[in-house]
Amino acid sequence: MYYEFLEDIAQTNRLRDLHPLIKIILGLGCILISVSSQSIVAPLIIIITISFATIFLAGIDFRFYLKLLLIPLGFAVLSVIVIVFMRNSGQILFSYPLGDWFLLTVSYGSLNEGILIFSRVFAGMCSLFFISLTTPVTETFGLAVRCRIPGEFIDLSMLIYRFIFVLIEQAAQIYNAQHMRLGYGNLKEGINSFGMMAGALFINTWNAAENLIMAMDSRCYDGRFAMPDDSAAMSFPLLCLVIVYLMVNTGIAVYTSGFVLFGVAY
Amino acid sequence: MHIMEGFLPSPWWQIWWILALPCIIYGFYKLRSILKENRELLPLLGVAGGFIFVLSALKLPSVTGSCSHPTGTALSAITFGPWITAVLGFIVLLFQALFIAHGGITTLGANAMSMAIVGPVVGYYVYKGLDKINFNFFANVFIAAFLCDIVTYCVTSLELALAFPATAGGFVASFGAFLGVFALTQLPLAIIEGLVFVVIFKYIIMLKPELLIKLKVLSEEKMKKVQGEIEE
Amino acid sequence: MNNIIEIKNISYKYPNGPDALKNISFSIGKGEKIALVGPNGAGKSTLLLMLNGMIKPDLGEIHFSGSPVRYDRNNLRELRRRVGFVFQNPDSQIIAPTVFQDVAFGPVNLGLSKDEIKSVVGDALSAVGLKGFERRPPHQLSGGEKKRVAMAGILAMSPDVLVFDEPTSALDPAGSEDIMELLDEMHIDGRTIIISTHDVELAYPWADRVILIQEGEILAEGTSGEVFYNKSLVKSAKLSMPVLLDLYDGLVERGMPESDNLPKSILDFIHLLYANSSDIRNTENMDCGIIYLVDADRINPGEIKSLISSLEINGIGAMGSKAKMMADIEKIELDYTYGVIDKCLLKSINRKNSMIITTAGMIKRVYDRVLEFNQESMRDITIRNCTEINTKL
Repeated sequence: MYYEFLEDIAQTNRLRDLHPLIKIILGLGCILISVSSQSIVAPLIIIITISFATIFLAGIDFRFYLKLLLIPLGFAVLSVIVIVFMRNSGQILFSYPLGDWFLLTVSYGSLNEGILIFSRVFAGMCSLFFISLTTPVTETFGLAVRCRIPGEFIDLSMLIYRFIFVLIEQAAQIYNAQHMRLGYGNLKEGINSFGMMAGALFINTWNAAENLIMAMDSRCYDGRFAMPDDSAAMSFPLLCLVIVYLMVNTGIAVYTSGFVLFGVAY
Repeated sequence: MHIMEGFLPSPWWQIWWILALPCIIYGFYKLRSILKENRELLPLLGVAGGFIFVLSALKLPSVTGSCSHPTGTALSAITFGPWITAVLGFIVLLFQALFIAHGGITTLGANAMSMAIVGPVVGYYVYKGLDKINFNFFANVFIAAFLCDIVTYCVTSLELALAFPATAGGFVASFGAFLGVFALTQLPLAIIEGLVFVVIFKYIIMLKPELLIKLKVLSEEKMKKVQGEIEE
Repeated sequence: MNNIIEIKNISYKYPNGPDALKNISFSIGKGEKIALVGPNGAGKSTLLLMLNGMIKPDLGEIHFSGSPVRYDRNNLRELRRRVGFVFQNPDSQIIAPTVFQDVAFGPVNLGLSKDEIKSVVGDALSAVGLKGFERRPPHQLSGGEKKRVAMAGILAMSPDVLVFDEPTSALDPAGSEDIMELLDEMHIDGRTIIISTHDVELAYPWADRVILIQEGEILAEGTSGEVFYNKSLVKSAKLSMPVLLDLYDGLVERGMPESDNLPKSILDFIHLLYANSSDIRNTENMDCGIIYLVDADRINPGEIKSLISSLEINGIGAMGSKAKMMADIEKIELDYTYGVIDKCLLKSINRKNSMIITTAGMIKRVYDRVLEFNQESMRDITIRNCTEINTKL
């Protein structure tokens, strides 16, 4: 089993040292614009510009990026197809009877809507990837403290972050060992092997927790967790640029809200 | 089953956030009071959260060959209870969106509702209910895990149907359509996850039964009975 | 020597388990390097965990700095600040998402101010050679680096005693050397160091005193020579004799006269052979190479390379993390990073020059060791301190 988390890429990307607030505002802003946009124009612009930022500014491999997009877009297509068949309005494109009682119709209205939703998902995922690939989570803990998120919540997140990596390594080792002994030959064996791996992992989790308590006590744990580091330098010109970009996009979204590909806007 | 970023339009993604947040906040306050009593629980919960993430990041053996992941929250619900699971699940969902691109941030509310709140609540209460009437332990585990999965997928379909009601037949038709489309992958997945959980618990009981007693999943006498069943 | 830790008649039994420790007593002097040696399952880890109060003995007492250990919260915290424990598996010990945060954990919980924490963490990371790693997440580090993060986390609390459970487990040879050298650096700063290991090759040259444990009981206690140069003892502890002692023993059986000092390094051994071989002695040329000493703190880093090329240097070694880092930055290829003094002495015997780059406390060590060797071997190996020469010019 090979696992690759986007976090590891984020740790070494070219935009790593930029203040996390800038990157998050950009990413979240684009997500919000795409989700609220009533036409495909703004999402399209976001797709192009944010992908550009991800690939050329952050230095992410182009083919890797495409591969990443494939899975969510695949699901999106599936869901969109359902919608296209159901949400009909405007001129009907074609219809096909299924048995006696069901009429499968596709109309201009539903096609437009389907394409719109698809564009939103595309833009949303690209923006999410921008955040995931450029902003290491470790850089955001300091930000979380500033935003007055409760301490226990942040401590819990930091611990979870650390132990995700400890446990995934163990899981990989167990899985590979099982795989080498052909533990995933057929479905029944697969279920058995997977269950054993998960069970072993659960027991390891408990042991790790006990060790963790010992380790924390050895270092005089007094209820306080680690001090997050917030030394990233804020770049105000860049922040302004991002805000301007978002405002322009919002404007475009509002202005083109009536635009549709097929038929007449309604 | 995660709804991906951008799929839910306004006002729906906001609505689910507004619905999910109180549950998570309630879970958080419960967490806080438990931690005040017993600070040693923080490390355990941290590691447990890591476990939930890792479990849901692994690929289950599947029938349809599609990429399928366990929800991971059923185990947490049975061992820690639904409200703690809500908080842990929320954090795990956030990490899932950021680390492996499952789900999104606007859709975090909706995903939390299905995977971290409703699913685990149903799984937990079914487990406890069947446990009270001394239902067979392993069958109980299977049903709890299976239902947790099914309920999660039903709630997701509900969320999608509410956001995209059909023109002919409204919400109901839409709900039916989404349920139908995803049933192909979700039903076998739920069965497999149920079976997997049976194996998981069997394994833990064989190797470290004290754990389950400590976590109040099983009482000591029930443990002996279950261990006896395994021997047969 | 005053004893910093005293173990008096302690016994312990794990709940639902066999006896782990049976009536153990020994004492540890301030500034000593102690190795607890024994096979797996002997009780080493259990014993170590008692030193910082993680486990309370069923019977007996533990004294720290003259007073008995008390197991209430405040006293335990104070004990753990002064006795730092590094676990065998760094993954169990590293708990925070970044290196900085993990090393800062101790200081944060000790209540230091933000600025104090920053400075203390910076010093600790420099001491283990991980300056610049502050924002890295631990899962991206190698095993040796993780071990060093764990060490830094303890150092940041300014302990008097450092306890290491199997310090070199799961490390490759280079990593092992690095860690052992770090332990030496910590020791020079005045700390007491206690390690547990089943690796006799590691314990023999390093430890001042060795405590042999098996099945919860102390089999023997003494200097590393006393303990390991005892075939029956070593065998009953299910260990093997260190190779150097085995060789020495073999030679003594064949008639070589016993020496006062058992050989602890390759250098010692070669010197032993020279001293006992009349053939070699007669034809031997007693000229020796020079050891050039460079103080990394005082020299201008850019000048080292020109210094090396102007002198006929045959081997370069660096001692200490600061010196090694400087060599790395100046792109100087190091031939030796561990056991540097002995290796350079060997070069000198072979009439070649060598250079040692080091800092502060270790300079005295170089002088001491060379003097010791000169006395034993009746040679006259000279050290030339380059940084003093430079400043004179």
